[in-house]
This record gives sequence, structure tokens and C-alpha cells, in this order.
Amino acid sequence: MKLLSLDTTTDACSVALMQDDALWSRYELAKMQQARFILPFIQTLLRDANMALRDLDAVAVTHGPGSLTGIRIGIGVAQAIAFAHDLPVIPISSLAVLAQRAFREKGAKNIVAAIDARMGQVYWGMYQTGVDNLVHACCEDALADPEDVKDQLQAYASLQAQWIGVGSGWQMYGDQLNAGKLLMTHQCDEFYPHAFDLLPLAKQRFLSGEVVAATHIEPLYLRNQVVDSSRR
Amino acid sequence: MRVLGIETSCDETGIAVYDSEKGLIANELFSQIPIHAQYGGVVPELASRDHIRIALPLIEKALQQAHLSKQQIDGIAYTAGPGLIGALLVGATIGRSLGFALDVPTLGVHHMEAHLLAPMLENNPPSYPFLALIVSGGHTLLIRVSSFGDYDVLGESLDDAAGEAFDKTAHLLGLSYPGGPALAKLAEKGNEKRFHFPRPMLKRPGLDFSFSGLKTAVVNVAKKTTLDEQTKANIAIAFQEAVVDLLTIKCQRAIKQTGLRRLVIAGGVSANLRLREKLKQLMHQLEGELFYPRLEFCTDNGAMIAYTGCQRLMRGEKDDLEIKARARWSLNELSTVVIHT
Repeated sequence: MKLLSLDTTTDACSVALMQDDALWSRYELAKMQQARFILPFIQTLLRDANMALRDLDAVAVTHGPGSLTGIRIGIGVAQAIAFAHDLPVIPISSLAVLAQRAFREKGAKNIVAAIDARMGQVYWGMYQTGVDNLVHACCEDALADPEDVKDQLQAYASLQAQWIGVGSGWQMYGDQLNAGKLLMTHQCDEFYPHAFDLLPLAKQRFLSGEVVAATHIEPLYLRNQVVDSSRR
Repeated sequence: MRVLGIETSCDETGIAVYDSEKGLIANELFSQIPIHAQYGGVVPELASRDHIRIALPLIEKALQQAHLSKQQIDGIAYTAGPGLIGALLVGATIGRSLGFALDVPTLGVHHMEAHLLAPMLENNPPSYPFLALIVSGGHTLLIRVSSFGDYDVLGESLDDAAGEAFDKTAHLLGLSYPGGPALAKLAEKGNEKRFHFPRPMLKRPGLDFSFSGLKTAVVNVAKKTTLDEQTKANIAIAFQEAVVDLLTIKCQRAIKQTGLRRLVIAGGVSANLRLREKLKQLMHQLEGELFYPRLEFCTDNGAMIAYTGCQRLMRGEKDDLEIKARARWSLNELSTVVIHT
């Protein structure tokens, strides 16, 4: 199976390529610079793998949540490549990819992924790693105030499992989010989604037929209050 | 050469295909005006959301209209600026990436260059050199066009754009966004003798414009009067006359200064019939000629982008792999085309 995956939803820009058992990836911190980096990254990977876009089976992309402009850059690139070569698209949550990365790099089984949403809020989601070594959502990704997230996390405390918090949301609001008496640790390091971790999630979706046409990728903005209230 | 054009700089998604031999072979437009009208103006984030939703299906439709497969496109042009950065980035991302995926050259086009070249899409296009007046919601520019790619901005608005003044005045009179066309319609019923508004900067030499003083004068009159329908119409016609006068006199001055005898008007306000009438009279007096595009090419559209991109792509210009857009971009910064023979 041949998959191209890309992520431009946060402060990083990353691209990965699966050519059956071989994997390639590029990852760079590129705050507000994703538009400059994304196509050269894709070109480099294709050359490394000695592959052409027409050889692909599908394109996977994080369709949000995250930077609103970043979401559209990723979707725009995925749309164009998929349209040009009649490929299906696999849109996946950036929070799921973040959780999948936490599993790969930190061995985390129970993950609270949170991305700084600016304006004092976070995009967040809870994920658990299954026997298939893939993360599965415990609830729907959401946009919320850190206080509300904390309350919901406390409701989960009875699960008695060890949870780990990762992502820029924790970096920004770690103390507020983890204020309760939870069996929780959280990471304060820079931790963003990586297109490499999109590949296993996308492969599984592709095999189960969960794909969309290039013209039908729905962005997962979560933030829908975008008009200044004084203008209503 | 067949070029796909993508326009997403503001609140209209425009897609077109221009063929250097056959001319325009597809033209599609999706206007977001009803969405933004609820808020009295363009909401940038909502505009970007519509562009990313609409652009690709519209490209598909345009290709169908032209009976082309995507492999038959030889190049792609998109608006790279000036405009709303988030909106521009949607077109730039899709345009640049589609070129990359189809392995054809792409080029980011200057929105105002495309506007001033829009009359080239008509049967009787102007020949170079000519003077261009671009009047829209975002810009008021007087430009000497010596040849393709050789532009010299002679004058511009120091504050509001002409179209912005129209929209703001219309808003004041309770007309819905975008108010320019509604205001012109209302002016038809007005008595032009009832009010007189100032013509700012007319006494000063030079070719720059200013519209904010005029807007203030309208605000002051509106405050002092009861705004019944007839009064609104009287204000509308007096305002329109003031703007049209200002534009006409500056054009006359520019023509005297440059010795040019061909005038091109473009941009949304160039659709205003009173402006066209006055400029036609002016050019008749000066034994010159007035050129303007059809109504649908006065406002934002993909056709002018496809045309402009086609001219430059045929000259061998093309992008590198970085996706780039610029919110601000002066026409004076646009490099003169070097023609390789």
C-alpha cells in the first residue's frame, strides 16, 4: 500500500510516505511557514522513495483541529494532489495523530491530547491505545476552556488508569488542566502532531473503506464562533 | 496555452480557463455576498471557509464546461495578492499544489494587474499604451500602462477606496451590503440640486484621491435631516455626483499630463453607469476612447486571472515550489517583463 500523509495544523510541518513496508518522513518546526515547506517536503520524499504521485493509493491529511489557516493549507494540498490523480482522501483528527505519536514515542496507552486554541481555550480529545496499537477516541474532540476540561477529566478519574497529557494545550495550560487529584502526568515539552503517525491510522481507515473524495473533505475547525459579536 | 485561473482574494470564488488561441473557454463564479451581507461587510474567516469548500468543485465544473480533462491544462494562475491573506492562501495553496501534482507551471498573479487587463477579454481590446483607472472596494488607482507588465502608479487614494465610500454611504442610508449598486439605483430617483457635497483634494495638484472627507460630509447631512425615502435618494445622487466628478477630473488631469488618449476603467465601481457616462463624454471631448470590461468582469472573477497568468506563463515566468501570497503588494513592485526571444 502506498500512502502520502501530511500535517500543517500546528506549529510544525510534516509529511510522510508509506511504500508498502518502507516509511519516509520529514518534520520541521515551521510556525506560520507551512505553506513554504510543504511542497518541497513532498517532492523530497517522493525522490527518496523513487516514487511518483500517480503511484499512490490515497492521501491522508489532518483536517483539524488547530490553526485555521494551517487546516486549510493541509486540506488544499491534499485536495489538489488527490484531484489531480483521482485518489481518495483520508481525513484524520490532529488530536488522534498527536495521541498516536505519544503512543509511539512514550508508550502511552491513555492519552489526553490538547492543542492550544488561543483565546484562552484548548482543542482536546481523549484517546486509548487498542490491541491493534492504534489510538481510539473515547469521546468527540472538542473546543473548551481549560477549567471545563479539568472537570471532565475529574469525572474520568474513577477509571483508575494512568493517563498522560500531551500537546501544546498542556504546555500552555498544564497546571489548570491537571488541577484535580488525577492519576495524571503531563508533558510540558514541545509536542506536535507528526505526519508519520498519520500513516498507521490512515492505513486502517483505508482498509475499512473510510475514505472521501477530494471535493468532500470536511475541515474539523471545532471553533465556529468566528464573527466578532458586535457585528451580529 | 490553456491556463486555469483561480481567484480567491476576497469574497468571490472565481474559476476560469483561458486558451491563448481560443480565448476564454470556461468561467465560473461563486459569490459569497449573501453570507457577508448579514454582517454588513466581509468576515475574513468565513470567506476563507467558503473558498476552501467551493474552489475545487468549481474547478471541476469549469473543466467540464470547457470539455477538458485536467491533463489538458498547460498552466495554472492564481491571485497571489493583494487581498485578504487567509482567502488568498486558499487559492494559492490549491493552485500551486495542483500545478505540482499535474506537473505544469503555475504563477501567482497580481490582482490589480488582472483588473486593469480585464478589457483585453473583450472583442475590441485597447492597444498599449493606455491610462487605467481601477476603482473597487479596496482600491482607487490611476495607472500609466506603457506596455504589458510596465505599470506606473500615478495616483491612489490616501484613505478610503471609492467603492468603500460607496458601501459606507449606502450603509448609512440603510441599504444592505454591498451598497454600491443599491446606492446607484436609489440615486436614479434623487434630485441632484438638493444637496452638494465637497470634492476633496480637487484644488490640490497631483493625482491622488481622498474620499473620507466626503463620507464625513454625508454623515453630517444625514444627522441633520429626516431620512425619508426622497431625502435618501437626494443624498445618494449628490454623493454619486461628487465621486464621479472627482474621478472624472483626476482622469482628465492624468490624460493631460501623460498625453495618453485611451482610458481603461476596471474594478467594481467601473460598473457604475453614471461614471461610464461621464468618462465617455470626457473621452469624446478629448477625441480619445474609453474601454471597460463587461459587467461580470468589472467585479472579481477568475477570467482576468487566467488571462493575466496566461500572458506571463507564455513569457516563461513561473513559481518555485513555495506557496506564497501577499496581503499588500504595490503594482509598482511588479517587475517589468523581460521578453526572451
